Amino acid sequence: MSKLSQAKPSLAKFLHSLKISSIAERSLSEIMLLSALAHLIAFIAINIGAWLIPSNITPLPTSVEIISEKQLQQRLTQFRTSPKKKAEVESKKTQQPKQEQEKEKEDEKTVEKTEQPKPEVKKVAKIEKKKAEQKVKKPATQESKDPLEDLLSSLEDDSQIEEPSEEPSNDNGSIEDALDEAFTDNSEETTAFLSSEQILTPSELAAFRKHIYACWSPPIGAPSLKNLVVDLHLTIDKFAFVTDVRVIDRQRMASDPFFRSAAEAALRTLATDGACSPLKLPLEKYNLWQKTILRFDPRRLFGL
Amino acid sequence: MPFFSRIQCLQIPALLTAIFLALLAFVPSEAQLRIDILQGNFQPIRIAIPNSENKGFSSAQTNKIQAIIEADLNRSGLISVVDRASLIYKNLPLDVVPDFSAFRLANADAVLSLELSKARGKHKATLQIWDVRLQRPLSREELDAKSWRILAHKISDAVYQRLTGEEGYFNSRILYVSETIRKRRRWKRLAIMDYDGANHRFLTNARRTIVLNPRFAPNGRAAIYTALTKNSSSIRLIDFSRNNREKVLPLGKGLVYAGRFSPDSKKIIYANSISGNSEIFTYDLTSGRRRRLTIHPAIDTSPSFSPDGDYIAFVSDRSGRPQIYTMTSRGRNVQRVSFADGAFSTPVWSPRGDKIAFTRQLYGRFAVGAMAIDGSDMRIFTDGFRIEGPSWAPNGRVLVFFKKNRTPKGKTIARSRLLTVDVTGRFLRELATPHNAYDPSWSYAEQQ
Repeated sequence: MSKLSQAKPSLAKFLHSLKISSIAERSLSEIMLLSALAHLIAFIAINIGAWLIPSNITPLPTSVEIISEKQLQQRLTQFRTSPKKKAEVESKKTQQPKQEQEKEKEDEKTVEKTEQPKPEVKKVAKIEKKKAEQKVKKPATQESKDPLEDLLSSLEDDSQIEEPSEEPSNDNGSIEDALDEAFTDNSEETTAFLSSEQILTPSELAAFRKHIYACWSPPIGAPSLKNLVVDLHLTIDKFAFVTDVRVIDRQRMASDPFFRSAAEAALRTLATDGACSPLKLPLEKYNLWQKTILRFDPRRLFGL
Repeated sequence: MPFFSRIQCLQIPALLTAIFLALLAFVPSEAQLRIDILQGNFQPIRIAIPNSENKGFSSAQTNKIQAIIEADLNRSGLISVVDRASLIYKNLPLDVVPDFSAFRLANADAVLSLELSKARGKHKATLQIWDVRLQRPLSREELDAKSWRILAHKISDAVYQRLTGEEGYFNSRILYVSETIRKRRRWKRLAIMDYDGANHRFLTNARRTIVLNPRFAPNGRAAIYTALTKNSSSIRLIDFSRNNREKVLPLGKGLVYAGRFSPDSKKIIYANSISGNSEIFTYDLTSGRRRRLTIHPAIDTSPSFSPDGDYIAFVSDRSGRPQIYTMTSRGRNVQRVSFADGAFSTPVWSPRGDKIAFTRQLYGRFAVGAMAIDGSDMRIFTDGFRIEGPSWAPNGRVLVFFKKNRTPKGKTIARSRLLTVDVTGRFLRELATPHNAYDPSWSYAEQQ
């Protein structure tokens, strides 16, 4: 304590004021309480930090290339071509000798191992291992939560596509799988990309919106349209029927008749027997949209 | 002394747990897909009105009440009434939960069940509104009125308010200048009618007096108008609560015109032209005190109070052309708010307080529109050969104005009609009047 008081007199003073200058003198229960208090403060600080930092600017776990759907389709088609063609493409790029090409046809993995530098060999082996594991665990992983959901939520709006992060890629299995699956013909690049199974593509989003636009009757001519933005929390079943919907700002529903009418109009849009039910969503991407927040925003309609 | 007493040792963990649980409620939920819906397809809310239950009403009266409700709601543009012929259930008792699927077949979004009765000389109605899509009751209300017609308008107001969130405006009246022509002589009289044209009657009868600018008091109990005779002009007050008794207001020498009430109905604001210079004055109806608000060599006219009474919009040609200006209710801080081409006139502050309606004349054509109170977001609702004199509905959503077409060949005078338009400019409707109509003013039928 004497050393501490020399080094940090103010801290010592503070501890002294709290009467915890001698921890040994305190009972176990007091120490536990102080510990709980410290944890609580840390918890509050973390949560405040989480609120202050918007989720959509969270650094990406790996570098991501955002491509158009057309490009995506091209790459997927390329990937789905026979190993023979794939090998040909690779051979053109790497200018491998013919003998190696033949070997590659027999066993592509062996060829890659021999060509890649040592660290890459380890990486590829790791990818292969993970791939094998994923094949075994396929049904379980489909239902489990996607680790990239935060990232996907930030990419859901085609109008808000952000520049990809240039951080080096981590050892993230799903990203590497994506890299492995989609960039086998372009192994020199270190960037990864999200497969079409992991995001709602712009065309899927556009189709969904177009479907909703036809059903939503916005509040026209109401005063303070700027304040009539309604957020709805949707729970959707795997056949794209809305099973539960609630207005997020319930308090305002009770106090503001204009907001209540706007919210009811939004709710009618999603009525289970309405023209917009079931929703137009890709059923195979159920994990992405089973919990969705829809924001009905009339401001742009009236140039606000 | 221990740091914590034993009691504290028991209380503090409980407190910490409570704080922890409270904070958990505010922890951001898991990341979810968020999608913005920025476009829509406006459709009126379709409401089905099955036959009402009656206690003391004749079937003819019931039919009339239902016809008024349907006309009111359809005229609003925001609500449309489903054709009764398409309903599977023609009757819906008040306390019975409707078969929602049956009403969905008729493409209804809402259902109104109604019970009408008479008690102690009053007409009563109990109404229940159901949401067909959400399959739940929206509201239940009991209303009464002296006459069945007012009751019908009140029911329309209740339905409109519940479905749109906005105050209804069907139980209201229109005051206007009616013009009849006999032997090529024009006879201008002050007329009053219900919003839907019913109960039409004349308030003035003088043949040699021209009546102009009739304006309701915001409380609906009185009105003023400008009377022009051969040698003079005056602003006259009509007191509806005293059997339409008239009184000429002592507003001073010169030409007085363009009068309007203050929001509390206790003052009149008007223009007074002396030696060709028009200025704006206020007149206190209680104390009889006059106060001059503008002092400028330019023409200042057409004043209108903001709904809070703190500001005044008026027209002045101090910039060279008639434009809209605002100032405080004491005549200070004059600011120009309109900068567009053309000559602006008749600014009227919206009861909502967010807009100023106006008439604009440009290249020989008139237009009615509205702008934000700072002059931004100017929108023209309709234009034509002669379109003038906007007046807001009491809820600030709809404007009434008059439209006169070009005189056809071979005729001495063109037809002049009253039209309404809402703030979106989508719903343009005509109000039926027996004769030519000018200068409308709109107010609630009774104090709200």
